[in-house]
Amino acid sequence: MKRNNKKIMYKIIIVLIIVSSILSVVFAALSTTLTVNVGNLTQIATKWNISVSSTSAINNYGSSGTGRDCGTISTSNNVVTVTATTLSKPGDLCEYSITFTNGNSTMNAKLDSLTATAPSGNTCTYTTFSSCTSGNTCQYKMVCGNITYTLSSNESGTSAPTNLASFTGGTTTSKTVYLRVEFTGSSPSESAITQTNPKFTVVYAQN
Amino acid sequence: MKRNKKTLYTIILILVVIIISLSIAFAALSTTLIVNFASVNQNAYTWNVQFDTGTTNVAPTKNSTNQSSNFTCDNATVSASSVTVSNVKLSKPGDYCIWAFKVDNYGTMPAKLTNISSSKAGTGSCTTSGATITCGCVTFKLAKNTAGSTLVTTSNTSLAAGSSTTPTQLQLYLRADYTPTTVAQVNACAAQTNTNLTYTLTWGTN
Repeated sequence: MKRNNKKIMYKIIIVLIIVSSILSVVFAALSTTLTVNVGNLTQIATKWNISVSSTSAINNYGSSGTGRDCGTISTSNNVVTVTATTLSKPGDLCEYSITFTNGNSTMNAKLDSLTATAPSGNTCTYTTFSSCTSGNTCQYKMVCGNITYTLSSNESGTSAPTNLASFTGGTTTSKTVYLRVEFTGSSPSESAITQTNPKFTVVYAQN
Repeated sequence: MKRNKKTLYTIILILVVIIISLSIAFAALSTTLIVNFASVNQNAYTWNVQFDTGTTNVAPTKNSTNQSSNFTCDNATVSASSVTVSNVKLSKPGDYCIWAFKVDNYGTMPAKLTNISSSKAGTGSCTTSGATITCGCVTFKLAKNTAGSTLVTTSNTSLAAGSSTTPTQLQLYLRADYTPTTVAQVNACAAQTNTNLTYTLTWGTN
């Protein structure tokens, strides 16, 4: 009996091997392999490094004895901060230079937007220019009551900062603009006014 | 001795009679069953799955703002069994290339994708997972939409039966993206070259 069982088992195994071999051949005949191939993929080591490289207080007008205080300007992590500034009478002005630098960036950069933000609770009027990405805000002058804030390409504050429009990758380039805050009202205010946290936001994007 | 022989012959005779009797009895208690096919037919089917070669030189869709020397998306060369892109070079956020191509089923049997695998045979360091190949800061996806969000898988990819003159078609897209989005991520991307990235699509009967 045991011998018979073994013989039967061997026969079944042989039959299964033959059947599976036939099925494999059939499957191979009804199968297609398609390939999608990319020969060479190259990644370039790209760097992006546009920053505020320096700031300086350069001009002031108006006697400090009658309420003109230009505070100090500093920069940290691309945020430029001017400490508390006081302007009290027509002609009082504080002016600072700000230098933007394209360090080791390998990419071209363009001015994406330049936004002036009004002091808290103030209504301001804005002057725009057209160097920013189409459709984006591009403001360089903001008049808020007696105070005018300007980011200009010249010290006199008359030109929009079009020099900031772009940076060319691969070369270290610096561009300086002038931040002016000026008492442009016609007469002093009879009561103290504080304008809190006005600012300009400059955004560069890859080009 | 003579008696013994007689006895032996008698026993043998009796055994023969018994065996014959049993054989007849077995025959009387046996049944033959027949399973019979009236006919076995084979329908005429054909099998022919291949890339569509209506356009053999496929221009990619690419980021139109990045046409610098550091941006290359070669055209794809399409044959019945392969789609080949020779050179891809990406370097900035927003860089991408998309190649569109089709798989045709000219056969009369429905087909399904039974396996998809990806590999990198040449230089460089990449990770592969089905329809996704990631090499440093560049990711390739084999997808069913241009955005690359619906990846090709064995569970979502099949072709209905076609004919020798009118194939059923499946639109596929190969998309390459430069993936970093932050300054830190961009600056961390080292230059590298990867060669011979391959997707292998195996189609079988459905």
